[in-house]
Amino acid sequence: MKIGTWFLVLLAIVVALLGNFIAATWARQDNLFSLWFFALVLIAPFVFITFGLVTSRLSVAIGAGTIDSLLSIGTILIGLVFFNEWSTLTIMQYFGIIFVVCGLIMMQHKRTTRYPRAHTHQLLKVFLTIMTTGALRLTTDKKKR
Amino acid sequence: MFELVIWAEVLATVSIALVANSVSAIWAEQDKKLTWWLVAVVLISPLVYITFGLMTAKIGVAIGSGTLDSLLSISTIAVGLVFFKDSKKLSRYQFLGLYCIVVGIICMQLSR
Repeated sequence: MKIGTWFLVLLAIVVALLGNFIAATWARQDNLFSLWFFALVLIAPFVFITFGLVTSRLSVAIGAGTIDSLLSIGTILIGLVFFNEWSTLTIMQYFGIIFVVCGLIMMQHKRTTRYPRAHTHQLLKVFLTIMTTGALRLTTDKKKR
Repeated sequence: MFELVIWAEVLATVSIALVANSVSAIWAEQDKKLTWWLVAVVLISPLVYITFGLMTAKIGVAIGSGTLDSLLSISTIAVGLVFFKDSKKLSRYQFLGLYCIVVGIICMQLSR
């Protein structure tokens, strides 16, 4: 993927996160026709326009997979970093992150690339080693608690 | 009966979002950007967030967003592979990557 495409993916994720935040805030209000409603109507087209621009460069399946998976990881990371929710991270979520990152690495190989390059194998190995060590530590920590 | 109604509403919400995703993908494929597809994107996108907001307010943010997001991600990937003929453009590694992503999204969303 080119840098321009990654930038577009990042933009699509930021706009979608903003849209999700505005939608969740709007739905909690007693008055449904508040300023949040107008903010929602304003931001919503931009979410789908950026999504469309990503799919035009990557294809619908790969674009949707990339954006949705990074959105899920982004939401979890916001909880972990900004709300200090490390103790609430479940083993399932941890394995979910492992699967998604492996999937993202594998999706970089287009049809024209016959075999994955050696550095991708190494990247996958290093990532899996780090995450397996983390998973073991997480399970022993949970058992101790 | 109540559960059946909730599932019907979830299905309707995901369907609206799926239509919006498909319309935006069709719009972006065109060379000319100022088309009726853009008008359709602008009209349908607020509906997606309104239905999502109302559903999450009804069944709870954690369960609601988890179920809706994972169903939408998987159905959009399926629509891409079947209707947009993405399966012909993808390599084996990209298929395997998509499989990993679907499993990962289910793990992350359903354990919220």
